[in-house]
Amino acid sequence: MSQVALKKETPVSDDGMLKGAAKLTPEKIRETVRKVLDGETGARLKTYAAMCARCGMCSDACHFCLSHDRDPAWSPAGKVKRTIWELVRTGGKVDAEFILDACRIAHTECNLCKRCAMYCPFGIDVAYMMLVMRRICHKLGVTPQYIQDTAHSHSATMNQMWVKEDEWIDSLQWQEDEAREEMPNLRIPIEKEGADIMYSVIGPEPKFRAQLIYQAAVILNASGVDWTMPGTPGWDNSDMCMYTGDNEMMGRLKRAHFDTAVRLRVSRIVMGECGHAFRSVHDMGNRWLGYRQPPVPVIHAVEFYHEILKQGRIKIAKKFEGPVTLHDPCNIVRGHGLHEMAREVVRLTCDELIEMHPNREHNYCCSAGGGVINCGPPFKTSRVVGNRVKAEQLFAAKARGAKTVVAPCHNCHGGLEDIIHHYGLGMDVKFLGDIIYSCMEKPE
Amino acid sequence: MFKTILLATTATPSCDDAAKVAFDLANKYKARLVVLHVVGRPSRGYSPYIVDYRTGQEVDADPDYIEWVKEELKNTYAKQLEKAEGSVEIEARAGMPCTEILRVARRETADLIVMGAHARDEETAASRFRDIVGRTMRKVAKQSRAPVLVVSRPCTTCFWYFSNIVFATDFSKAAHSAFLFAQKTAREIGCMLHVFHCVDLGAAEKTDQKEIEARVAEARARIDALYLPELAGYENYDIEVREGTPYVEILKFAREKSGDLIVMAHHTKEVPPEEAEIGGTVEQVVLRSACPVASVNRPDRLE
Repeated sequence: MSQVALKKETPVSDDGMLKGAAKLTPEKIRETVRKVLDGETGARLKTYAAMCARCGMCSDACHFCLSHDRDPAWSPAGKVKRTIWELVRTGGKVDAEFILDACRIAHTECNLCKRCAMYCPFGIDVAYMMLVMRRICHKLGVTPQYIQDTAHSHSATMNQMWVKEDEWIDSLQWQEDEAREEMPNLRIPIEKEGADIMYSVIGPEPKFRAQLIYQAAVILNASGVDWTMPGTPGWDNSDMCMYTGDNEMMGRLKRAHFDTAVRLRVSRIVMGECGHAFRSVHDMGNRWLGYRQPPVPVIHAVEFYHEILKQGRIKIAKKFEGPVTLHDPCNIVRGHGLHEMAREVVRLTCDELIEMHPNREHNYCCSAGGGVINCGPPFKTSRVVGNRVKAEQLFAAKARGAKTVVAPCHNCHGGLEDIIHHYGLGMDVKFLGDIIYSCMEKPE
Repeated sequence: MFKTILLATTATPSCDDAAKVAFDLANKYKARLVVLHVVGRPSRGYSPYIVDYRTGQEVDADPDYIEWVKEELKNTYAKQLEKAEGSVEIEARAGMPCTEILRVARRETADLIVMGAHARDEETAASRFRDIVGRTMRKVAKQSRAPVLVVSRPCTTCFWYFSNIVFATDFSKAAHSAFLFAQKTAREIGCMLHVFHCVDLGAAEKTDQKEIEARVAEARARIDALYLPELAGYENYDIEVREGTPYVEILKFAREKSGDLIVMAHHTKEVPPEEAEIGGTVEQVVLRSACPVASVNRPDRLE
């Protein structure tokens, strides 16, 4: 079989990866690779590795590949070939440079969006293989510095942003104070046992985007549901450890989250608009913990908004003006099929929806997900340039009148904002919560 | 009059005028002064690394770094600190500037926030004025419970803090809070209070003179009804209504009266920010005013 053209690489400038790679020895690499391949993987990885027919169907699925004019080096199969296959083939007889390269590919050139898995005739899950690669990198101590630091915060504080317990509670009380000006009877009930809903958010909300907690409080209060937020660690549903391959820590985080809900005796958890957190709770963390069913059901904000709008718990005073387009976040669309529900929420709240194409489960990723944006500035350019197709998609929607992009996911927000800025598209990015908050009837 | 003043500073020369006013006010009114500098904002994905606003360098905002920044702040304001009569606390934090300023203002129950209008030093074209009236100032002014004093140019009339207060109204609910602040300040100092409104002519050439006069008279009647009862027992005020472009008239009026403090509301909740007339007006006034401008939207910290 012919070999794919070798891609010219720019040298990695990430401290965490370089320092980690400098400490590697061939023996350590071989031993670690064997431990992971023999101890943690099985028939699934072997089958995937054996079955790939190199047909190239996955190439057209990958936004990186499409954005690089279908260069096979960027195709999912090409990326797998330069990472985990080589480890399987050689049994880990590779050098530190290979690991460095594989780490860059697995961490920053794949968003684990699983679009390729849909196009593969055999259903090979490339995201799974990339996660195995990240797991090996984690065990070798070669992980991009930025995301590793975030994972450290998770380990030390059980939240993503080094938020201390009193800071967390203070942020909630602060937003309650602010929101009471608009709704005098509003409460953000902390630690209310036996409430129906536990509302959980990601670490950056109290730290940097406190306004989102304010908006959520207004929506939850106006809808008249019985809800609470935890006052202890376990409030944060985000999970960067899932993306660094630190599966043990991912398990601890998810256990803390579910245990908090169990302690509060709530009947379900409602999560804010975050995609990766939903993946960690709904797909990966719960499976690592071996839950057949999670102890408390979890629903994403999109499902919750759909429910309260459909039940008439909140009413829309005036629909959001100007056509919007909807970005489908991979983790809640390919991961959980919420695309029609999200569209219904948009139709109930906005004047006009202009679709991007392809859409729904075929939508292109924002190129920020899968922990890629969390790898920070050293990889920003490759992530933005590597998603030209998204920019083209957005531009086509804009040409048909869309002014605002609705993206019900934090990482998508960051990724789309960067793309819009880089390609000069001049569109606003909004959460569904932003739109509902601005358009709903607010009780006096 | 002020118990706690919060100075939010970029610690660059663009905030020197604001710092001067804040330190002067703290000395004059024996207030506690909290000097807050937001070090930098985190990168996308929110790792602990931040880009320092002043140096432009990427740094790990750990406690050591924050301590070092605080030492730097003490150097920056060494002269003012030497002359400070009351307690001055220095604080540095990483985060989104407007969020952290509001967070600290709440924690310290600040009754006045003092800040510069923008973080850039270079001269900028008029078309970009809206941009350089920093987004931070706009957000803080809009959401703050405490009055926000914006100082964007060297204050040429600030000798007495204050002797001529100009209160410009658009008759909104928020403007009433601004009035309460202006009135309280005037009463406590015993200085002159000018109550001012400008009838916005918009496309002026189409407006008939009779109509203008009728609108001026109507505005005058509204001022009498709204504010005169509150001014009972205070003599030192006057009322003026003019017509034209609001921000121009406010600036001209303030200059005529040697105003050393302009008090306005930023914008009201009922009107979306982009539609609020006085919102754009306050920003234009802030940029061009020769004296500090206080934006007051809420009555919370006026008791």
